[in-house]
Amino acid sequence: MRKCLLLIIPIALLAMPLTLTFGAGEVVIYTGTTQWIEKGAADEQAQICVDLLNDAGIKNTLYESDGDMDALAEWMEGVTDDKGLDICILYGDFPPTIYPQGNAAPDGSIAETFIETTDGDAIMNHADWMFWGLGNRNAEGGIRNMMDIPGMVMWDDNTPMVVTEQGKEIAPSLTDFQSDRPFHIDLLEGNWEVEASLAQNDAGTRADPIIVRDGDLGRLIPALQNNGGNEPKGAVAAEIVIWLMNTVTPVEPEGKLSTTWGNLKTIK
Amino acid sequence: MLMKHNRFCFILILTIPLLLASACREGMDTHSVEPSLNTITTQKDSAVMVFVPAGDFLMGTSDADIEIYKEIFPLRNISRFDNERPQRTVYVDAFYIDQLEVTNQQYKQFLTETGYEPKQYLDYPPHNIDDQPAVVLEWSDAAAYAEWAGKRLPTEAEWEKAARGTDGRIWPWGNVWDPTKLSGNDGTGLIDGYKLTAPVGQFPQGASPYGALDMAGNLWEWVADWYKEDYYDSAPYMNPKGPETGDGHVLKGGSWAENLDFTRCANRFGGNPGSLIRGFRCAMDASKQK
Repeated sequence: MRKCLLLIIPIALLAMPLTLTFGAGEVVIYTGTTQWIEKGAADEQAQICVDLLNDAGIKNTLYESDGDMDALAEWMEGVTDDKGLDICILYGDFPPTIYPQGNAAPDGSIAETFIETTDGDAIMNHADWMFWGLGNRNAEGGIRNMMDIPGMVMWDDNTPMVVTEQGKEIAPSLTDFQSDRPFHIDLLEGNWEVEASLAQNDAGTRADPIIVRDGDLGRLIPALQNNGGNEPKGAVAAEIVIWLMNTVTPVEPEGKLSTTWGNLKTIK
Repeated sequence: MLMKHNRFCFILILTIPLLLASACREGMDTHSVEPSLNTITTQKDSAVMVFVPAGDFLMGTSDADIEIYKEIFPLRNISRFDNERPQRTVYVDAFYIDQLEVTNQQYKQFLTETGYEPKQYLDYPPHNIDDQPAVVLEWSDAAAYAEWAGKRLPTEAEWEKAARGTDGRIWPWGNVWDPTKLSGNDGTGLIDGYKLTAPVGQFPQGASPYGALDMAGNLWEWVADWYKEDYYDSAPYMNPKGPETGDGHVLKGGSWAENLDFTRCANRFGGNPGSLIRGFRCAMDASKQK
């Protein structure tokens, strides 16, 4: 018995930091400013997402006003590197409170720091070019600086996206559509890699939605980046979040310690 | 024998126009350019302008077009064409329009001569090469150039007539999509030869009926009109100039990042253009030239 305990305790000690690293976190959706989707439509889709997340028991907050930009920044700073997988969902704009406009801080912005920690935080974007910004605040520089890939672009309107097998599994609401700002898989560099491609073109060079991850750091999720489309942005976003939270981070943060010990007791 | 020969000629004369008309209706390539272009070159910016005669043309998208679009763009929601409807006959006075989009060389000349400070002009590589079209993201920066050059931005109706002629064709060259006839998006740059924008005027095979080039693709183009989604419901027949005010200004023609849908002559975009990459060309009343 003592021998067994001596074996169990080090395993438990090893298991604790692992579970702490991969805890599920929170979701914030921001529709205060939108691009390539009417604010009303964005609010509607965001509410669909909120309802589905609530059903799944995932903590979330919806910021519907442009006056919430500061609160968004505060939230992002607060959850950065908190050992939970936190996800921010944007609707085509990139608020200057989390990324100074005009690419004034190409490195070290609140948003970049958010996705450069090992708890896997993610930013998801709908509608227009990810990180372009209202009034061309950042233009092509936004995505390039956030990924540190100088040649990254999101051109290519009307690219047909066919849902992949993985896409069907992750997001059942997703259907084939035409993406106007697809992600360019063929431009990935450095540690960035495809974690899941939900829909892509025939050549496999463009994808949308897609989850890309910077090694063991954070994630970017361009999702349904199309102009004026009525595709189910809210439902697909929720399905991706639920998949990430449940598949990639299977352990609930509140129950981590007790679950670990409970499992150990069962083994014993 | 002679009578027989005459009858044959008569039948031939009658048949050829019918065959041509039928070919057009059936969506064959209708590419045709005015045999001898009527052009002028403006002094200030050395721009060649092509002449577009006064008269009627078909503007917007018809119900028949929608049926075609359903086949060409099966994944598009049909409601996205609502702002191009109804199709209607529109009259515009004679005018000249730049054969090419305004280049960086021309735009920089304007900036140097006037000291004008543009709000959003992409003056960095690879966008700012001399013979590339000037990427002018703000409408007011385009309008300022036009004024300096002694010209103006075309109205939406003028732009569309210059692009598609009078027969309601889908693209400037005709009704059959051809990715080799524009600086558009093929995802690789291998088909049109350019991964991004092309130097202006590289696609003479994609010329409009009046000889204007790059009306489809390369850069979205600003026109003078304010944008209102349902403007076509109430627009006048004679020289429509757009609503009194609206949600931003109209953009036409699509860009090098587009294919098919957005490069149609009837396509119109307004409101917040977001990441659409855009430039312009100028127009001038024909009467001003006399």
